[in-house]
Amino acid sequence: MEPEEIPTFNPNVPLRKDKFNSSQLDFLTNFMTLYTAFSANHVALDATSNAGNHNVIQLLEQPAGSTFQTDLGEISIYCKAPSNTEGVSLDQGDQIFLKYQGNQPEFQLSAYQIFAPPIITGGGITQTPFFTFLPGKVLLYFGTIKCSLQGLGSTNAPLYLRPPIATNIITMNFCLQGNNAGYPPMVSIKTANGNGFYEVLYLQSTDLQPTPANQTFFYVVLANI
Amino acid sequence: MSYNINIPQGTDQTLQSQKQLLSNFQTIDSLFGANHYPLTGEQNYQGMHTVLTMQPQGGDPPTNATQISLYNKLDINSIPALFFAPNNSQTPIQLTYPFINTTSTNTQQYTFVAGPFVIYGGKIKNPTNGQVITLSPTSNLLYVGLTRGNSKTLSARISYAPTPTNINSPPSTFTINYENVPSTIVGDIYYLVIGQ
Repeated sequence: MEPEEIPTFNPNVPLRKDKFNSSQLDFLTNFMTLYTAFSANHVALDATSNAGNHNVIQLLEQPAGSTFQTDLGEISIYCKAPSNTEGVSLDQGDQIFLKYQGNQPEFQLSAYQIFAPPIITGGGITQTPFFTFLPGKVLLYFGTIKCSLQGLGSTNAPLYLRPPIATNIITMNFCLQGNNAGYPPMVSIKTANGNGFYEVLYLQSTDLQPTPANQTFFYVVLANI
Repeated sequence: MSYNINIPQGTDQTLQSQKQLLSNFQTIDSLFGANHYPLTGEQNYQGMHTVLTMQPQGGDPPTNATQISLYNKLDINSIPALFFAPNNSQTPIQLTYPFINTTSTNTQQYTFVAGPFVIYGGKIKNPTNGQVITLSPTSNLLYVGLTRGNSKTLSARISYAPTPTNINSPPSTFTINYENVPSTIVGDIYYLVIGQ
């Protein structure tokens, strides 16, 4: 027995020769399809209030390289899987992209996923890391690090960037906690690892402005993904 | 023919309504196809969106106690921006800033956060004492933080921490200030600035 075909929306009914009797099923199918489709993401057509409003916005992944016409006065929002300039996937899952009026270049609004990386300890250092993102594929690493910085020629204190997905360090900033705090540290950046990611910064005190031992800093680092 | 909500009339002949009904179904199919997965496509995806193309609104839409709104409205410079309206018609928040530059090869970049506030980040290579840094796009600078970089440089290691001075004088600028050092190379400086 052949499986029963599910009727779908047919924009080409009724035909000129159709009698209403013969078109009734087509009408019913079209109206039911409309009702069902509109009920996804939208307040139902037969709702007593707010009909036409959205309940949620589910954005279907758009193919890489897809573009949208965004005229003057308009803003376009869509989702796709981020890729690098060579079109290679960045394994971030689907993310939200924005395109401003007049077909300006798109930019990535969301990035990656947010989670709390584990606290990093060792060598007398305690780092409590967090991260979030900013528009334009920018990661914002932040948190606290407690360490004893040494002066000229001494070992630096490592500050780890977790998750290690930064392809370029844009900037960073430090603020010292507590009374009798010394001066903010200097920073050196280790070269990227074999995969092109920056995993660690090194903090150091100066001879002129030594930082007390076991000093806690708030830190912020901006980096490109 | 455009969409006609008033058909068929009870007095319509079959022949007369056919064109109008056909036009309505085709119009619905075409219009719903904008921003949405097609009505004629796979049923699991019908009603979902491919893109949200948002037309500018003349004002802030009212929201009740259980609603929020996302919409496009012209900002103070008459440029379209994405806004978020909290419930109960509370004060809307501008989510986007009309410009962004996060090209990773640039040493000076900027992005934004809701408000909107502009987040500037960058590196000044071998700045001099008293060097004025001008940030673009122009904004009123609210926070300026400096960090010494390139600490392998001997002159950086024996320098004092730089401080920002003359903030917003002239507008959208700050001056790098070192205490008690000659105006020679003192290593790089990273800046993190928030403006509005």
